[in-house]
Amino acid sequence: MKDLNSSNSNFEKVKLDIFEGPLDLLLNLIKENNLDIYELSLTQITEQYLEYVELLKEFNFDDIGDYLVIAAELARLKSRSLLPDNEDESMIDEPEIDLVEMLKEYKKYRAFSENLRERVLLGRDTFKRPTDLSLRSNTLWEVQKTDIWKLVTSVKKVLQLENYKEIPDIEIEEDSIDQDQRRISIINNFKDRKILKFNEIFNIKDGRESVIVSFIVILDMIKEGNVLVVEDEDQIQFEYKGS
Amino acid sequence: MKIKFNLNTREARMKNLKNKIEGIIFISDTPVKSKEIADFLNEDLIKVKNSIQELIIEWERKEGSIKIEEVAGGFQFRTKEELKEMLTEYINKKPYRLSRAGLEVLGIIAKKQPATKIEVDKIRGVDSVGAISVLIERDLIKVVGEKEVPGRPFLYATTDLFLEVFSLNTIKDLPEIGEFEDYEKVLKEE
Repeated sequence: MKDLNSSNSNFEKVKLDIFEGPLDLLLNLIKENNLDIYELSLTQITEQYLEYVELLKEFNFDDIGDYLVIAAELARLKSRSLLPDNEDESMIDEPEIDLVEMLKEYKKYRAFSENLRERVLLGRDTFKRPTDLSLRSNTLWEVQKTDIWKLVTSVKKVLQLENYKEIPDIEIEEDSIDQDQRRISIINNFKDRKILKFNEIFNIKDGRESVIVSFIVILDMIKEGNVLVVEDEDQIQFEYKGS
Repeated sequence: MKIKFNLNTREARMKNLKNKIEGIIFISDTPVKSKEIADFLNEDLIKVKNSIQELIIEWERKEGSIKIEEVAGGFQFRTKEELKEMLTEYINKKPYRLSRAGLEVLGIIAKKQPATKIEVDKIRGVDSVGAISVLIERDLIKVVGEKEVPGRPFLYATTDLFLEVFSLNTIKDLPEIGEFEDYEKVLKEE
């Protein structure tokens, strides 16, 4: 499962371990559409899945190859489902992976790890006497709950807004947005208020590239623990945790 | 008269042993095994184990803020959960962060150990190299060998620190993976 990386994006490659992977994305889509894990359900969400993959390509996401493997399998299932019943099935390639089985197996482990998070954690729920109290050498643990796909979904919606707008095709080449610069301006915005609304960071008026750069910066900040995603009545907000 | 005297010395000896054990558990940085204590004090292992059980009950009866817990095959003084917010604030340090992906990889390795990266990748459908390196850095997993297959990939297993952090005495204390077949259903019913 490695790198078939094909992206025309100019941004630095995004290598983030906060994404749970293509199977997690599929399970989320299945749940969102109130489906169960069957081949038929998978063919129903193929288009939605591909939309996400298109978006991830744009972020120059490092593990995109793994998403494409699953996309190919979805396409295969879809084409098979479109065949009339009496058609000779040997015409279609044999499956290389059993996606339904993979999803079922993965789902168990995902649930198991959620259960792990609920245990009494040393350094989160309980503490031991450290060797040197003057240094307060206790280690603290934080186990993140943030569902990154919700954030990706919101960003996706913002970017889709752009498609409906008629923008004259003028590209200003040299005015590309720098990640470090965007980061500083986001931190500056947080200086006034600890909480920012989604559209205060992601605004399509700033342009597509700006939205994407903002997303990469915010992901980084979530990973460092400087930003927390909070959901308030289905609205995504960002809370600044940095100093 | 004589009998009572004997009883008193016996009680005194037991009390004395318990105090020694309590002291050892108190000063230890990681969970101490009863065998370690028995060997060091040159005492009978059963006697030591019984004394530890009594100590656990005594601390429980005190209804204070401290308990003795059996974790990672040993015993450790820990604070009770009701103090967690206050103590987190007191310690006032940046926490180590574990992402959902990190926890997922940790869970798979805990269940499948010893496991290779490819085995983990297969279940998750995505490359797990980032999460694995974070877990190694945090000492929650370690390399325990190489698999006898072409390429000789590393085999990973959980560490004693993993047991300590997740309040487990042994890895067998984790629930069976089969129990999570209908996890969402169970959650809904609860």
